[in-house]
Amino acid sequence: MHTKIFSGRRFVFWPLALVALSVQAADRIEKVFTVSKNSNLMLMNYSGMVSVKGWQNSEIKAVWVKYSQNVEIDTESGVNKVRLATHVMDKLASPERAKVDYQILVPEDAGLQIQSNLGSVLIENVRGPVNVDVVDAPVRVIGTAGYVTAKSLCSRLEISQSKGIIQTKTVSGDIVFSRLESNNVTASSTLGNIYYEGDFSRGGKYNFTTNEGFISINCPDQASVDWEAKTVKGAIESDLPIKSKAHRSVPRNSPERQSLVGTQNSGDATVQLSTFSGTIKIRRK
Amino acid sequence: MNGLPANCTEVQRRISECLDGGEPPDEERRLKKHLDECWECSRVYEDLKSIKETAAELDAPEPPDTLWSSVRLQLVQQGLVRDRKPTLWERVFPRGFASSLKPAFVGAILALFVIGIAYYVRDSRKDLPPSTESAVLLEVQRAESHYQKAINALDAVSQKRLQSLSPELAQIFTDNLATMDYYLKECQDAARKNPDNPLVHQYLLVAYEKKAELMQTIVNSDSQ
Repeated sequence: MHTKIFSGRRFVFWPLALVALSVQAADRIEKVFTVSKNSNLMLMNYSGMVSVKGWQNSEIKAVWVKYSQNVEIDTESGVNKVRLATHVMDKLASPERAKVDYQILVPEDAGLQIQSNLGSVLIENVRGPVNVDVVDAPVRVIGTAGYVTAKSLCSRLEISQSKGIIQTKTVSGDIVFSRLESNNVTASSTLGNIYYEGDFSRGGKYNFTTNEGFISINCPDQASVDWEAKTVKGAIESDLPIKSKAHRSVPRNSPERQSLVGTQNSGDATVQLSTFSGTIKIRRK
Repeated sequence: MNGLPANCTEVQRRISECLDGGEPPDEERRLKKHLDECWECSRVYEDLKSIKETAAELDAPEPPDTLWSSVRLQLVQQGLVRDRKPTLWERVFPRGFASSLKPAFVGAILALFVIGIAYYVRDSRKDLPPSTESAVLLEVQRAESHYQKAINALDAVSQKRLQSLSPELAQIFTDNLATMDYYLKECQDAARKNPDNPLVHQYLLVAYEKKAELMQTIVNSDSQ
């Protein structure tokens, strides 16, 4: 039995099959770019997983795995910038034939500009400015310290434990914030929901707007917030001790009748919530 | 009545000049101080800044030869521009020059047109005395009509662009356009039922703006 495998026609078949398999298998390429302080990474991917993490070295180390001959990776590098771009030859091919996974390590002070149509994006421990723009690729941003702008068409944006200014925008994707230390956060969605979990920074400004989705806030009793929430067709629910502002009382026939304007504790952070037809829920954490 | 304090009205009028660097340093400092303290004005400032930056960064894929002429034809049909004799510019530059303009550029022009409408509406509302609520609604209706025309013009470009994308990606955009249309219709219904509610009209205009923005994203989506 054992000898039969390597005999006759099969003896010719197996090497050919192995060659064919190696052509189909993924290509893994690793490149290291030495960069200066405050460098920038620009990555444009079509489809696949993207992971970018900060590390202590002054190098950008990029590993990419491509699964098809339908894609080529263009690289450009300078003293303080590296650009990686997935070039898709046949754009009408399925996303599987355009798939490239990237795992990248960047200096912690680096700035990032990431674009991806499909797949997923993870960004972790980066102190420079971060700009992410995706079509349908869930984005997770963790532990950043710079200015973050994240935009998604229909996938979820999740930002946690981050410090700098945060601006997010989606059409139908949800936006999720948790344990932020930022004092300036903006979320805007047309059809997605917005979730915020955690305390608000003293003097911070938070503005969340969704047209069709709902807004859910989970914050502690001791949060010091000046609240302004309004909805056209939705409702506002709260179980927090918010004192209504007498001078901003809403007239009976006002278009803002479904609104809540009030202060919790000394009102150090300003939180503005607005939705056209969704519900606003402000809950005790 | 726009509901803004007089100071905000003045600041919002000057933001554009500030972004263009046309304000004296003292005035700019005063504006920035106000922006730090006023959410409404800082939002207008961020919007304009972002529009300016986006417009500056637009790249330029190759358009089909017929693109500009079809956009122009629609603009003519909608009465936005008139057919006229060739200008000096057109005589200096050959006929094919216009068709070499990039779709992203065309999209950007249309997007700026849409944005212009938004600020025109804001400004119009500021100039009206408090007693002219119906005049405000009339302006809103005019703005709606302009938005619809701009969206129709963008539609031709974005539909063309969708054909050059993978079916999966094109489907995602198409689905989102459909849900956006659903939301737009909901806002239109609400505006019809609540003609005197300025907040509803504000949401409606934002819905148009967002649809135009989504179409602009589609136009720029084939950059890789």
